[in-house]
Amino acid sequence: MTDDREFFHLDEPPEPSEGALERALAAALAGYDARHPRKNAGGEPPREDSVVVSLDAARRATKPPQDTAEPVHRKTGFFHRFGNLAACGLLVVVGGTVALRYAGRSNEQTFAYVGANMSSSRPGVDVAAHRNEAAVIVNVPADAAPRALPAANPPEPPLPVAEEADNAHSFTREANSALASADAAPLQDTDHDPVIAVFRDDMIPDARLGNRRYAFVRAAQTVPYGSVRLAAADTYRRSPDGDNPQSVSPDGFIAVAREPFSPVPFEVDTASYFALRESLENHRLPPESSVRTAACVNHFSYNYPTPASADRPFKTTVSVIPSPWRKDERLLLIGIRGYAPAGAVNGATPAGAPIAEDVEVHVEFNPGMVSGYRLVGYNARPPAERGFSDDAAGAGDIGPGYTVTAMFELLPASDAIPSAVATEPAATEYGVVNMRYKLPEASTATYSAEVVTPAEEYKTFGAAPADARFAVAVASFAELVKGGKRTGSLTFSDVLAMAEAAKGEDRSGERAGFIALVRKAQTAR
Amino acid sequence: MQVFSDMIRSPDVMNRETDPDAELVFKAAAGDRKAFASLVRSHYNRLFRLVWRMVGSREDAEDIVQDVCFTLATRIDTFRGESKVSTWLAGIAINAARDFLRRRKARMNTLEGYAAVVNLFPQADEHNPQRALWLAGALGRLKDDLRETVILVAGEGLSHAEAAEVLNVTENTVSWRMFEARKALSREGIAEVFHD
Repeated sequence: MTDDREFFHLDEPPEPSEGALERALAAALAGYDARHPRKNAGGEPPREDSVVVSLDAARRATKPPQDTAEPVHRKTGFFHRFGNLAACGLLVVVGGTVALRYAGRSNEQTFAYVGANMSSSRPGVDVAAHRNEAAVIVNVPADAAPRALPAANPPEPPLPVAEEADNAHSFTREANSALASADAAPLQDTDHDPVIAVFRDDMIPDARLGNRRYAFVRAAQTVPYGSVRLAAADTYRRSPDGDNPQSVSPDGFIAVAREPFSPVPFEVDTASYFALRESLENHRLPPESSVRTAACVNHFSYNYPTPASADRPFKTTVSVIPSPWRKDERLLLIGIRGYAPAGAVNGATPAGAPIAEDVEVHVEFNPGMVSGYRLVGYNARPPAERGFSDDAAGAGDIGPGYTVTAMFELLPASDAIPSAVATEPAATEYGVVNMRYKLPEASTATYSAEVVTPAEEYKTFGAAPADARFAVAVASFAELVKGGKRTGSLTFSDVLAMAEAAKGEDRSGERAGFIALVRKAQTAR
Repeated sequence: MQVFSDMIRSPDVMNRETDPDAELVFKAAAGDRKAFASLVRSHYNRLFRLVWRMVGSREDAEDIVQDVCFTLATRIDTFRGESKVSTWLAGIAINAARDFLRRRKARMNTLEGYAAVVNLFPQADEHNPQRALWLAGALGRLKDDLRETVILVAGEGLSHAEAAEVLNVTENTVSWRMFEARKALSREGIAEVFHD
């Protein structure tokens, strides 16, 4: 009917609100990124027995109201559906503590911001303390028994408790809105399995909510990119599912949309380089598995800038350079040098009084700039015992002049996250390197952060500092000896050329020694 | 090279030629993030218009379309190329909007019960003049199945055959619904319905 349009003369819709398209796009891309590596893995069925939900990506996709009186209920719609998506088996792991962990199909969990305008009418609750937290509301079957969190989880700080039933009435407006937007009758909703088999024993029952309970989730998971910098760094923990193959693409890249945080190994055992050298001196290639790329890179010394004072005992040098291994890929090099008082021994073997203790380092990648990353020299993940655990057993005293180099392969985001979503300071940042340590004798931790900006990016490999190029040559060499699975068409001759061009002053002669070793490798078998 | 008989048989090959969006969908399914983003961008406004006409509220329409976009990410590889991409997307959006309406209805029923106990929940849409207008307008007065059909045919310009595909009914049903909708909305039609 050609005149249908005229006859019905439908009202034109209003314009979508500002940023609506961007929010939708960000949500869509988050889903796309989260799914894509899994699809490549050969169509593995989604795992439904363990759903880990973190709010970071969700929060990034939907900006929370900030200091406004606007009700949040329409913002919560997305989270609600996010929960349902989790039920579809989508694993959403975004750095930080596991918020909730369910066995069995899960759905109907609702996330709502407890925004800045959280009602102060709730007696006994420090409103400011929950400013950046999210209320997580789940359905719990009446006969379910609470189960403790897996042992891998660090203890949570005490949650606010709804003291009496009366107080429940003054529960915040935001949470009320969240409840209003949750399906109030899930048990009659036959499209969805209403049962969540596991709920946390510290979740709070609320007589008014029937089978629902709620808990607050800590700020560290709910802040957008870039906000984790200092104060929250120590609340970062690796999620127990960090090693889950679903977070990792077949070629070892971790999706930033899922896990924007990576630990940076701070203490690296360099001994295995000697075994490699000895083997090649005898014209034999060592067994592939005996070669440790990170050990080789850290066997050499680099002339990173030195910190000026003992008060800030570490200086971080970062550079982003085009990768010689893979087209469109970049390498992020992080060099950290410790303070060395005049006269102290300089180098990897510390001497003299420690400059710091309990050092932890992590990097947070900006999803607007990086879609995936891989820590060079480790199988997807550095060993779990390195830092970022409560006991931090590995990180002891650090001696003067201590130097460490870490290298990440980065896959740039092919399509920048819309500006409305990428938080303002972050539009062009690759990420942030966060450090936490204790100065000797200090009772509290000190934090520092180094932002990886485009200023640290070198457009060509040749333009990069000699130290960075040499480190890449060593890493390439180690990877080639290991079989060259990651180094594309690179050959020992290429490594040789790289190393020779990056030799620099080489007062100790160690770089010349490396070059000789590469020559031996060319003929070794 | 594909032989000619294959081209006739293979719906995606046919579609690649006639529907430029099909190419985008296949690229996106193969991992081209840019193609995926471009697809979302180019269809957002159309989906928003369609969903708004279904639910009558800007906020809800935005949320629903956001959900549709997310869903698209997880279903991008299910596109078989048997219909136009725009038709396929309209189907996903219609379903999401239906789901929303169904949920809203269930929620309203229960909320009334809750509200009697604790007077905490705001009445639905009490501050939403847009929705009030929509309810009073042509679409708001139509029955669900007629409304969906009118939105697709008169609003989105789909042929009766395409609308039939989206709604999973026969082409005849679409034609009949359009006729019913006209009847219901013409002044005489309303009178007829009342006097029947």
